[in-house]
Amino acid sequence: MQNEQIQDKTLEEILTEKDITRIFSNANVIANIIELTSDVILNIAGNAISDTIKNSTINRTILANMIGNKIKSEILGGK
Amino acid sequence: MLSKASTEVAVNIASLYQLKNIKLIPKHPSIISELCNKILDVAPNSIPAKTVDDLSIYLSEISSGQFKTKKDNTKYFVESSHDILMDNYTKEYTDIIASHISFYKDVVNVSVRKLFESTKEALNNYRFKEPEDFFEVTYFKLHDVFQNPTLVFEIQDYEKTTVTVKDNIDLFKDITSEEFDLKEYILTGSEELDTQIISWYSTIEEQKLKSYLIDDVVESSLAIPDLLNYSLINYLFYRSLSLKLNLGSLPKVKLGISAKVNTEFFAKKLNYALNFYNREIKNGQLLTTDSDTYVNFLQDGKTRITVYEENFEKLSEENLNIEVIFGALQILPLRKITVNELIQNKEKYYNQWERSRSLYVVSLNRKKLDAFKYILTLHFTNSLIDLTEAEKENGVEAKKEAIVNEAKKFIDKLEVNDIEKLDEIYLYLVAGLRFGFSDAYKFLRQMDSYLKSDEKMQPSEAALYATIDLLVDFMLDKVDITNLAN
Repeated sequence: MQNEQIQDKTLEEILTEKDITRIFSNANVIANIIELTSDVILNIAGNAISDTIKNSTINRTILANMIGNKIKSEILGGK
Repeated sequence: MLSKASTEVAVNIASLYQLKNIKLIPKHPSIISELCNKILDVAPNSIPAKTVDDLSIYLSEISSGQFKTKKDNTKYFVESSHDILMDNYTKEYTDIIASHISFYKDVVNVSVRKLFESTKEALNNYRFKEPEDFFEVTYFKLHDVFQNPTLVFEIQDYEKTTVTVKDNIDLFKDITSEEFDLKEYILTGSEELDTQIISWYSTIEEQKLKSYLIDDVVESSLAIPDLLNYSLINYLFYRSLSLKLNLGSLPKVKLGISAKVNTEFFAKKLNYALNFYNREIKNGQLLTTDSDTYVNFLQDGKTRITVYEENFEKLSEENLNIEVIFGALQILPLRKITVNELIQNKEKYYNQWERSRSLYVVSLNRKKLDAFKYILTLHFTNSLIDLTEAEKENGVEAKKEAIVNEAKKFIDKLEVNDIEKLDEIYLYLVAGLRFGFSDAYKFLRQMDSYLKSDEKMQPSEAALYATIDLLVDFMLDKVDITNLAN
């Protein structure tokens, strides 16, 4: 059934589906790292970094971008 | 459920990796593979998303579960256990990270500060002289009173006097009496001159001026600045005494004659001192005759020099500074150190100063470095006597010798320039070696690096970034990164 569907598609669409699958696979890993790191950071209480989170406009979106940038630089930086 | 914020950023980065053929594969078993598999367990083989935006929404939704269709076409929701697992790991890692950060802050960082404070005190007790510290420079400028026309005219009157010896008058009791006001006594009645006398008087210790009146002063031992003051105070004093005749026990006639003799004697002396000073300035002399003529960096003590300010200003006009005199002092006799000589051969004397200064600085730095290494080794070794509970639990007791040896190797390699990087040195010794069983060094060094990159940054903000770095590094360790293009 799946093979029949693929045969009906153009080469470009098949590649796109492969891309989507691979992007999904990588995104799954990265999203879990970002989510867990964000949750931990936002949950940490009673130590030095909590003040920064409480007193600033850092929210989940900003945090996700900060963590994402770190991941990006670590991997593209040659890890 | 993965938040939209996380999936949006993740899909964007994943798209970038796709272009670069990078594939992330979670290691098994690991926290990341567990979390990813919870999503993959409910995901279909074909991802129903065609754009990057669709994909981020889809990833977020599917992390909570998925609707499936029964044979009778009714739909049911299969809940993902991803959320439960994420909640469990969040709690577990929150506790771990919070306790680690407290440990870095309250134990490791405190130990770094303690080592810093203890060595700072010991280092402060080591006093090193910089090359310039070997010189004590006094600038001498002739006070206006010495150029007052009334005074100059008066003393020139006595230039041809035949008096060569002063009369001894016992005035010790009068001058040392508490009621005796010397400053008041020497005033002349000329408003302009008296104003200058009062101004001049205030620049000199009164005790010194009184000693010039009552002590047996060896005049030949006085350099020009002192000879001028000595002559002027005596002249003004005997000038007043000869008019007032109100001190001592001598009959007034005898007192009057003696006071007049001494007035003439000191007028002549003052004339001589003033002429001498004017000749010194005219000849371009830079240093008074009592200035030290040697410089020795190897001995304690100082080279004391008195510079004629009037002539030094001529050097300044040519943009020369005191260092040219420091250099000249090492190769020229005192009386050859003149304005013209120093201006004409300034390179020679600057080079001389630079050479001797550099030689001294090398030996000074060697001494400083040796003392620094000795103090650092001693205090670091001592800091290991009282171990923290965490250190005991991590077997540091048994590794003490190895840690000290490692520290000695590190300290031994330090160079003079490293003394400026005290923070980094202490951080490595304490966080890197002593608490090497933890990530303290990595964390605190990261914090330090963030703080240095932005002076306005608060430590708590730097701690936040360092915590993110620590967590991301920990999690990326659980992932294999493959480049499919290779």
